[in-house]
Amino acid sequence: MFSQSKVLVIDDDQSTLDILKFNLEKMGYACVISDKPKLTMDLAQKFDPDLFILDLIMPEISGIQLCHDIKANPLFKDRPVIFLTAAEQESDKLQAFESGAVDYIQKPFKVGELKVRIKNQLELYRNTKKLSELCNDMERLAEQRAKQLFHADRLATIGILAAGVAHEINNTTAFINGNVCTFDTFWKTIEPCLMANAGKDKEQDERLKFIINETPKLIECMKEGVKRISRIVEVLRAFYRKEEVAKIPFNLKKCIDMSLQMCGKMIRDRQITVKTEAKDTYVIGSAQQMEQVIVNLVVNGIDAMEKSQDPSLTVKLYSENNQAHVEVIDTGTGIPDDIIKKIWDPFFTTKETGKGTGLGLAIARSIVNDHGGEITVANCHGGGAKFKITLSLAK
Amino acid sequence: MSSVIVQRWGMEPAEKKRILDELGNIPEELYNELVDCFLADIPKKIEQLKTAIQNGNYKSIKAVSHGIKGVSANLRLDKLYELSRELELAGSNNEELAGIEKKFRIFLEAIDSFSFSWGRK
Amino acid sequence: MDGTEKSKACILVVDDEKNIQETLSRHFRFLGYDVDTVDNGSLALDALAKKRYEVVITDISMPVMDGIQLLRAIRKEYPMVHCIIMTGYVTMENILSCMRLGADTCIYKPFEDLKEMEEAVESAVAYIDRWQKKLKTLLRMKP
Repeated sequence: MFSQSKVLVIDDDQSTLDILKFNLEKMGYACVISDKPKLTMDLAQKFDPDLFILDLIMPEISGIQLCHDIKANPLFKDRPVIFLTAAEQESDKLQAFESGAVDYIQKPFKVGELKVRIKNQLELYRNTKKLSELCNDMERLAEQRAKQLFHADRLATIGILAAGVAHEINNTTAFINGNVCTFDTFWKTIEPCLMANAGKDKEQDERLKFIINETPKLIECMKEGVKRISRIVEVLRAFYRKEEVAKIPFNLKKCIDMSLQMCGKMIRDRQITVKTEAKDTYVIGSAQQMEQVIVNLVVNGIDAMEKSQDPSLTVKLYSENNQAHVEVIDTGTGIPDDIIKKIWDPFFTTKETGKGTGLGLAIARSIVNDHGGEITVANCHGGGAKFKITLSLAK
Repeated sequence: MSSVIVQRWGMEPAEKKRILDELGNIPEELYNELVDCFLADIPKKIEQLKTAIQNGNYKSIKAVSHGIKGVSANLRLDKLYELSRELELAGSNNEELAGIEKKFRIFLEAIDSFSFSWGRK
Repeated sequence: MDGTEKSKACILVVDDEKNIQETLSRHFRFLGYDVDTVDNGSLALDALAKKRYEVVITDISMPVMDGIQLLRAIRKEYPMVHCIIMTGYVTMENILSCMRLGADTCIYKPFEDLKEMEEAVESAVAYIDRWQKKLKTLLRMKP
């Protein structure tokens, strides 16, 4: 990928201009010549040369002044300037180099030598440009990595907190639940006594009837609440140090049901139509981790449909070729071709900073791989994306 | 104008070929054109030099001969290059005007000779 | 609580969380068991030295002496005592240890409900009852 180099030649002598133009064009460079040194900067702006060749002694402006002008311009200051001149004094040469020129050739010049020098300077310039671009890339990469490390650090901290928090919460919900269960048991004794107490006062009776009606529901609700807290704690497990995947057979259908339940509020709030086609299917591994994966896919699907008029999520589970297949299909915007390969990369996210860690799919893939399975993605024909997990069936 | 007349101080075909080669194999037409321009411009330069020497204007002597020197260098007109170079140096060093005039005359002769051999006058 | 002769089984609850001690104590006392509670494994061994317990329900992570160490000690010194482990911090390692050290079962916190624990206690008590009956029958058989 070599774009044509451009050379601007300024000399008040036509013979220099013509000879140079001929030779430079033969070398494959684009060449603009001018015998009007005052127009140099204008020509430079228009032509954007990669290299300047200047005469030193010219009637209206000296080559030195031109060189200063070029170097003073932020656009051109790094571009090579070569002096080509009949001037012979040491002082001229020194002045030329001091003004920022990279080379100095005397007339009569050997064309062969001139060509080589020009070629070298252009190459040098090109390489310097490339280097500076690489530096910029490196800087950007470093910034990215720094952000990632910061992220990872935050996660590590969260991980440590998560373990502690999880334990605390589990302990607490344990006794809340325990007491709810005890109360449930108490209630079986209380209820008939309440009934026995009825008939004394009409208003009291109304209230008793209400209590007897509502208490079981109340108890159920408390149990449900505790269950949900536990599920949330489970999700935090992703940030613990990974343990060995338990090799126990479990039902993928239950995972799907559980995951959809976890996302229940999100589904309701965004009014998503959810379709499931699933049969009992058993695979080996960790049900909780697989739930985590499916939750992640479901949440991603829902987020993809943020702007959809009629958001619809389909989850399919079926067996084929001795394998279990789980598909999560959304009717969202689909994934652009230029990023579809990157979505599995840790920390890659299209959400704004703070909204997504970019870890979901990376963890999902890691979990699926640990289970000996495969996870893939493809855009759907009508729009939206389909994520597919494939696992071996439990024997 | 294609044929080159072989003359004293003129340009032999072999020499011309060498020059064209050195200049990067430029086409002969281009070279001829450049020499023609040079020769067309020379009378003006000569006038300027004459005036400069008369007035003892060393700066002008240096500048004009520098210009001539540059072109003759480009066109590989070695003799003219050397002579104009001497004039430039003389101007730089503020040499005696009499001496400069002498060099000037030699220069004029060389120009004449070359013009003639080139086929232009 | 009902009319039939039911030996009041004694349960020892070992957990550093007072609320859990209270919850389990309340629940099983209501069901007719005799329940004592202590804060850690070391105190549990002290209690076992003073009184006969049929069942020990213990947490794993506790200060001074944890559940696994307690289990090991009980196996050695009180082999007839049944142990039910409860834990919020589940690792493969811990569960395997519990299994190998002969715990009756392991229940994960948070408890979905206390049914699992009730059944475990019932099962342990039934086991002891069964053997006690056998012993009684044997004594009666002697002339």
